[in-house]
Amino acid sequence: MDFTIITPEIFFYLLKGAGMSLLIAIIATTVGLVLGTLGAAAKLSRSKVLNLLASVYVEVFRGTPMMMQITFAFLALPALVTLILGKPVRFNPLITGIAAIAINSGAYTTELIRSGINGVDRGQFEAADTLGLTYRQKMKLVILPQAFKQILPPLVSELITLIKDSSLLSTIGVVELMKSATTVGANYYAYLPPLTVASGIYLTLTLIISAISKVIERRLAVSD
Amino acid sequence: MIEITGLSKTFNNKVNAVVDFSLKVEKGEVISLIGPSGSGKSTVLRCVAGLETPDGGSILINGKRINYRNEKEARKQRTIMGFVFQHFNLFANMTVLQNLTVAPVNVQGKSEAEAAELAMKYLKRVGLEDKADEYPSKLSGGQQQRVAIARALCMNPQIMLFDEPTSALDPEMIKEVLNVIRDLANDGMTMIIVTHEINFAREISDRIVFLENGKKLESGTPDYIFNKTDNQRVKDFLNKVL
Repeated sequence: MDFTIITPEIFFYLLKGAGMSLLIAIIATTVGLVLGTLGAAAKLSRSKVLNLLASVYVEVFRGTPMMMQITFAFLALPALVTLILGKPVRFNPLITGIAAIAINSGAYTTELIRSGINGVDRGQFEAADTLGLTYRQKMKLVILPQAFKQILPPLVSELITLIKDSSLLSTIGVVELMKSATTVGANYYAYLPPLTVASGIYLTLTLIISAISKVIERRLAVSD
Repeated sequence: MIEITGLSKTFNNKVNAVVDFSLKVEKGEVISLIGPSGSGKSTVLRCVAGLETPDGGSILINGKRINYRNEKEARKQRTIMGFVFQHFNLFANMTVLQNLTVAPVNVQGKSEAEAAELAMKYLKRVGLEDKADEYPSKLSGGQQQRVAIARALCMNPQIMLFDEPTSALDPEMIKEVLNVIRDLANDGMTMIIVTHEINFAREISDRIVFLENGKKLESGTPDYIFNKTDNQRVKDFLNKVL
């Protein structure tokens, strides 16, 4: 097998794809975090309607394959919108793909944050209550900072999962690392070198992120 | 100052935690609630603090009934009272100083500097001014409880409520916490104390209330409770614990 086809230009091309994968994962995790916070707030609220809505959201997006959600968003939703608007529409694959991954991630993050908040000792809530803090102050100043510390490790593994899952967007034409690697393979009729290098890049990315999260965890541990 | 009338509370799983409990606390009075475990002492205190919603009866603070339905109003009434928990419940994500300033700044609108000055005054009072920048997890149980008392005092409460403040402490740390509470009593603070420290209750209380199975069985001065009552249950209990 001839690894010399991975010239600096080709390697740079793969790195650009990796940059796109990372970007997709970071945006999706961030949006997912916002959705997850809203979802957790809905799940923990006293409103039965909000409880139900949040549960349906979580169950639907955790209970169907992400591949299906991405394909559905890119191929089936435009048809639906076309039907409603009466004129043909086409979705941008990148934006559609990121949205699909973010919404999926939000479902997992909802459960993550909910369990993080439930994991904070009841006494912390009560102490905030007896001191007269409002619900908002209690959450912002006391509960969420403590919950965040507990959910940081699973949140980082969510980011790592999304870096890997962003490869699914190759199926709807987004040129990220996976797509870049198969393109190179197709051009040179040799898949082993580009796929090996691309796998190495995925692994490097996920290892770096794990290492960064360990540092952050150690910083947060000062109050333990 | 506090007037509890016909208070009752039932929990889902337990039968009648508190049954038709009444108590009047005057300004400057120190009241101890004693009795066996599960007798409802803590529940009474938690109802007064608004941590539990009673099923029946009323609680008046300074002549005003606590309105549990109106969260904003209930919160305002709560700040008249300082509450000290068995398990301290210091905010784990904050330093000692931040624990003491968070409520004065966010609830009373004090400036950070003003709140910090007040906090240092109370830390000095409980003998922990050198621990201001430590996190609670670095302190002993006794130190954490003294910080918790200082935190409550920073809100300038008119009433202090203590829920078994020494029950979670190692024996050698109980004294330092009781000294702080004694100090407050001598200063004329109105207090309700739920405690298993019978001798301490005898020493500092103006009145002692004995509860069993959620009912008030006896109440009176320490002298009456310890020497004069003819209530057999109270006598048995005191014989057992003394």
